Amino acid sequence: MMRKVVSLLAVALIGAVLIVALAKMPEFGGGTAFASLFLFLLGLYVMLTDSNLIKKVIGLNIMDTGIFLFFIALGYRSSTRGAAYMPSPLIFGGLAAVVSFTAIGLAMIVRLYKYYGTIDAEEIMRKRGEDE
Amino acid sequence: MTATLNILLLLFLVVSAIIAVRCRDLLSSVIVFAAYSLVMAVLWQLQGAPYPAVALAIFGAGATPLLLLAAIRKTGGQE
Repeated sequence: MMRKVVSLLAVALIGAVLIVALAKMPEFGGGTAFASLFLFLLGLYVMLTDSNLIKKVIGLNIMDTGIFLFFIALGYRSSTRGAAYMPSPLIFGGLAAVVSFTAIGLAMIVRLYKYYGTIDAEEIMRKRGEDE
Repeated sequence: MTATLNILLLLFLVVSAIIAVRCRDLLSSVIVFAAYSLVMAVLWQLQGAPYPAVALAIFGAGATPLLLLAAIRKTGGQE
């Protein structure tokens, strides 16, 4: 319960800072920026609070697609205004990194399940405490 | 026309992200996440980034749900 409140406060603080930063950007407004900000904050909140490990991995994926949506929308905006900003190679690198991270994380989750018999983070912590 | 489509896709993204995160059943959560990735790829295509869109359609809607399904099958689904 305490952890949920603290996580919600941290996410709200990060969201407020990012909204102020978005409002100060001269070229960029509109729904896409705020939708990507919402997706980022939602994924971050799930990664912090949900105790199911597979839900944490899904939250990571939602978070990074939100960030990439922001990058691509920024490049689209600036390209229609004559600037040459092409974030495609950056997005490729990020996608490959996130897919490999997901694969390694899921392999770790399967090993944890074989050892502890559960994929719930709280329960794994409790069982570790009982062992020692 | 394009602006309306953009707003509709963004609404679908937000709603499906909330459903994928809040759903109790892990299997339905993964399926909703695959639909989310596909709509995100369509949105990237509309925003003028076709190569990342195809890469996301392969990775996000193909590889990641496959990995998640394998992990769910090995760990016995929802606790």
